[in-house]
Amino acid sequence: MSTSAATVSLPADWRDFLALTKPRVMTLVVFTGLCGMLAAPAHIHPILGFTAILCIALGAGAAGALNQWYEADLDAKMKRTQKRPLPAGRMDRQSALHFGVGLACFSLVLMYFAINLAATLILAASILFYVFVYTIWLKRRTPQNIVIGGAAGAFPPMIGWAAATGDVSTMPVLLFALIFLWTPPHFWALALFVKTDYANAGVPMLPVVAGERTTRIQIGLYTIPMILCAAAPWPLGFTGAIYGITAAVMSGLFLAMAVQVAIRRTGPDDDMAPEKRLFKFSILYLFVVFGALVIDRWFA
Amino acid sequence: MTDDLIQTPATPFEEAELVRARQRSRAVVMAVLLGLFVVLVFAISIVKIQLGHAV
Repeated sequence: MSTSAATVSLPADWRDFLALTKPRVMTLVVFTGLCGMLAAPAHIHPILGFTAILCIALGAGAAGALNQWYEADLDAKMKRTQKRPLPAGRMDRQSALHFGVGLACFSLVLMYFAINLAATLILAASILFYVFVYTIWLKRRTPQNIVIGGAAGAFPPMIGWAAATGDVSTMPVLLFALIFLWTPPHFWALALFVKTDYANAGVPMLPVVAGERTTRIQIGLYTIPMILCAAAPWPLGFTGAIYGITAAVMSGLFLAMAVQVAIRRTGPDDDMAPEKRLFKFSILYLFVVFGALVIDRWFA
Repeated sequence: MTDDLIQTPATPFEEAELVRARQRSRAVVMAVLLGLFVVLVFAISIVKIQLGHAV
């Protein structure tokens, strides 16, 4: 929570404000939100649909900015994050705070007036959850940080669905559960190969606190309910065979990679290739499964 | 590029120029975003009127 490492004498560049919003993370958020909207059994006018996705992106950007505002000291200690605008000294913390709060308020007001109350409330819950529950409360206190905090990243398809239909039913809850259960294997695979970074920064990620063995077992264990959640919409009658078969194939591949990571024992100079492969595949997995959901809804 | 700007020793005149250049680029981006926002609000209003919703 200390101020940034270098003295800031110039006003921050607009590119630094853009970097505060974590654009790469935003792509997955926008994609899952869009898929939730397109998979919903209701039509939304393209202009309103665009506005809803814009609000989801701005809300996610606001949450990312507030996360970087609060974690400037942690980011300065980790290689992966030390070039961000605050730890690199290109922006003062107050600007980041004002930007984050302003963007959050703007996204919520626009969502309420352009779309509906249900989508606004879920968007507000996701921003507040990410900032207060994950960033401020859990991240520095417990190795379960990304398990519970993963809920924040699971809201977008539910918001997209609510934007189209005005309410929330079983299917968006399943999509929420899928991303919620996907988050631990995804982040713990990453944490296994950047463990030293997290340890140096004092973040109690599972590999740092409980060790590699426990983390590997947990990756395997969380994968099982995740693939059940991914497969559930087809037998429950919410989707057709296109989604069902795609989800089954992708889940099978995910399970195979997760099991390989779960049973592996590593030496001191291990290159962590299976963990890196699982991490990359987990991103592809979400894109393909959600993409199949939309294709199934529109073309089946 | 921004790191270079911060780390390079500059005279007061050069520093003032850098600040002005930074403010100018931010103002241009802000103007573009505000323009796009006006267009978006206009489009939303038209759609809501067409759909028979209260704007």
